[in-house]
Amino acid sequence: MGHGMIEWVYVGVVIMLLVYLGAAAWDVERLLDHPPKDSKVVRVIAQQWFWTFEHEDGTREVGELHLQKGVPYKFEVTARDVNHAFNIPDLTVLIDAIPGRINTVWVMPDATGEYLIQCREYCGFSHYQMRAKLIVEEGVSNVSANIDAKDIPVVLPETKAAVVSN
Amino acid sequence: MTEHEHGEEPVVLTSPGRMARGIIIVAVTLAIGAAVVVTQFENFFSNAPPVTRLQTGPPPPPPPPAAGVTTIAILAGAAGQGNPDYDPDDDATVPMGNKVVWINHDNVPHTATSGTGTDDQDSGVLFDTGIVNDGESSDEIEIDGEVGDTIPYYCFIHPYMTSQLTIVEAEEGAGSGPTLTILLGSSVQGNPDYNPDPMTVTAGDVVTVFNADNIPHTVTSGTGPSDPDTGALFDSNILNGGDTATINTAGLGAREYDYYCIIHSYMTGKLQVTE
Amino acid sequence: MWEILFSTHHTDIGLLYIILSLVAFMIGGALALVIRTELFLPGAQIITDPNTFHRIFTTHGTNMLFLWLLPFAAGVGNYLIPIMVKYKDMAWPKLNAVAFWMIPVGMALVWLGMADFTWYATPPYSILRAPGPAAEMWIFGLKILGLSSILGAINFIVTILKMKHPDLPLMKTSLFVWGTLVTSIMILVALPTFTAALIMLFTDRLGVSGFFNPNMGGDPIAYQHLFWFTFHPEVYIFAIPAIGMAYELIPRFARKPLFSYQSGVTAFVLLAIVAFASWAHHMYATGMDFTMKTTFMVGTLAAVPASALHVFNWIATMWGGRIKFSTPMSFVVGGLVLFFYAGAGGVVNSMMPLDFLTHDSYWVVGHFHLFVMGLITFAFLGMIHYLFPLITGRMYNERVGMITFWLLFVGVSMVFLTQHVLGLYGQPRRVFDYVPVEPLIIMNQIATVGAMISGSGAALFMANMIYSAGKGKPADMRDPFKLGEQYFDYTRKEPHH
Repeated sequence: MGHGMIEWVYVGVVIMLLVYLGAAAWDVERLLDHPPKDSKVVRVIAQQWFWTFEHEDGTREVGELHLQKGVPYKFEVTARDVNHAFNIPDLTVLIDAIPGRINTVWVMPDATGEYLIQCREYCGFSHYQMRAKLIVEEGVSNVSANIDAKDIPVVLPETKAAVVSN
Repeated sequence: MTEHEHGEEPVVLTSPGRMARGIIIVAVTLAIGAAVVVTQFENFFSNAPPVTRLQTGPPPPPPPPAAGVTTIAILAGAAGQGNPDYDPDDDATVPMGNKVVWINHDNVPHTATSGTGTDDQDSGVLFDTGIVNDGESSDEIEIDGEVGDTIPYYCFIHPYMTSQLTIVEAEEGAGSGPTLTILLGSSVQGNPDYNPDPMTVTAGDVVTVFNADNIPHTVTSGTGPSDPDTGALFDSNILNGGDTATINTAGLGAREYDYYCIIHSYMTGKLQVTE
Repeated sequence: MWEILFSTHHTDIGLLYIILSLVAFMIGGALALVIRTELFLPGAQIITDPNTFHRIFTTHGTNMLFLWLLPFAAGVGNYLIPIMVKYKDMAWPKLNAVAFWMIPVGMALVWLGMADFTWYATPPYSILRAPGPAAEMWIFGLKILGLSSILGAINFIVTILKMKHPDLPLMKTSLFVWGTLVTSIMILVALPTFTAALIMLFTDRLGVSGFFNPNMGGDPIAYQHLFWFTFHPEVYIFAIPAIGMAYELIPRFARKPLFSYQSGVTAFVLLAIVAFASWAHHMYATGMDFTMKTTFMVGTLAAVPASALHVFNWIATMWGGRIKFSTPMSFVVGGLVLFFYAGAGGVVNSMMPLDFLTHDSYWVVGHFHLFVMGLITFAFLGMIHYLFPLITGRMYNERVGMITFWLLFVGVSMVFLTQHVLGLYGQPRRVFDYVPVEPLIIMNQIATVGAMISGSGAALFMANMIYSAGKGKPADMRDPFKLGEQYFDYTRKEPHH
């Protein structure tokens, strides 16, 4: 058939758009996949149908999680029985909780307040109400002094690239 | 094989009659299917996966020591000096191994503290309920001692309220009330949940609820979460694996009671209380 | 009536497939209305037991995919492919009948049990918790339905490649033939993996194996790989017949030749191959490492140009044509519009970081429904209207057909576009209840109203079909749609040898 050229141009445009989007996604994902070195570890254990949180110092919380604003936290997420998924919608934290496996996700809450923690993987009878409360409080110390400035991700204004050293 | 013409539309041309017959066939089949689905709905959903019976999880917690509970009432008006205070009073007997619960029927707080009075150096050493508010019950108090020991006690707030209890031989069956066990693996829908179910007790029995599973459960009166009277008649509250609780059937009339687990509401049972 | 039950002729079997799939579509739709009514307000409305709700949405999904989409495509394929390749019947007529009659058996197993573990049947839940015998019935039902698909696919491939008329080169067959051929090959490659996974699920449930049971050293994620290796290509298996049908309808109703046959074939083949390179984009949240996620993102995006080729082809065909927007064309073009949104949403999902916003939320529900209801069901409905005169010799009521289209288009848009936003607010999938905040409640209510509108459209559609089949005006078989051209230029089959 004729008019072959326009079709090639169209496909070319589509492919370029996808390449651009893909590269942008790759860039941001690199950020998400590398928790800052000084993140505090919080163990998240999901089971039918509630959440247990264990802090580094041994404190255990059930159904509620207290975090400090401005501190990066690395969640080590696992499950006791069936698949669940740890989700804080307002902070875009989402990772599956799979029995026999520990998955990691990190976040640095930047505003105090109460947030919803919910289960995002069908896990049976009370999946729909498997919720917990996240409470972000003001840090008790100037925690940012504990973090090496070079470990905090930086977004370059010109290129909009997110840079994490190492 | 039926004949079809070539070159023309190879069609099964419909007519209203044919259409009607087709619809009837489909409708009847669907109706039969719907009837089966509706009547057998729960039956198709009632077996736990076979693998769960084979599971080797952590070992089940040991059963509780057989122990019953003896109740002693703190009478209404006990605060008034000279009024009857405890019932049973000086003749109270506690079978060996039983725990004691004091129920405060008065309208002011009381205690049951071991010893002869406030100047007793050993006051409260053997047992002390602490403050029992009006209308409430004390914790279950373990009584240490041998058969034949007589232990005096008094109310710390109103020291003129005195009494004593004597430890006697353990009862047949060690004074244990009936035990309701929450079975290991009961959280998996389709597995057996409560044992015995139905359970028959006499009004006044104290039922010991023992959670033999390794996750929390409850025994809560009612038919399910939508029952407005959930927990109104009895409630073990949340029992962790290995824990026990008691349910006192003293106030219950003689009939059959439904109960369920509020965490896993597909676990249900029946408690039959007789005179 | 008995003759049609025992017939092995392709038109009879095609008709049986179509009728069964339309019935399944209606009862699956009824379940959807139950779900949406329940979700109209927070709390329990018409369903009090969460178990029942979970069984309803599992059956809704399983039914719609395996008892509506696949059988309908097989039915239209059965009806048209032998005609299009100018052969007297399918390659193996008796096998054809066997493949069809397995479907009611599978349907009965799935429907009577009503399992509760979602149509994914993900372990460990499906192994360690899901009650039986519903779970086992689902497993066996899907086994049978999968086997039926595979037998049908074999039949189609042999019919198209071996039984086509010797004077008809493959590159001159209609694009619907190409679509069916490509779909059938994909079925043969993709389905056996899931067949294996089903057996493994069953033995795991019995306790004799521990493939996916973490207590026995198994890996639940292994199931997800097996499942999605089948079911990502499977969603293309659902879509490609619809795309083929669009190729039938658009050039005819635009009264203009197809823009490029060549790119249609290329796009079909490309799509089929690339479909196998993207399965783990469903598993971004399972804790995959960065390289794997990137690989599958690239694989997913690689399928987009192929779909874009199809869309370009259709738009270029319509451009400058004298388009007649009767019911079949309206459905297909409406489906095309919804395809845009579905595809755009899909690109968002495939972006790794954005997936963590949308995964397992109502965004995904909105996204895939725009595909299966928007593109695929609309193309199917357009096709059934188009084939109506061919099959019944009568004409359906055009005015009712257009009302049906508008009701469905408005309703489907309302439900599923709203659900995209609902997902961004964080409402998870497969929930019996939700957090009772204003935005969620309003959006759920809009979705329910949209569902009711769609439901009324669907009911009207069935009424139109049934009434017109029995009492409609006899159609002018040469040009029932008054396009000014031959209706089916290949009903005139050459005499077979």
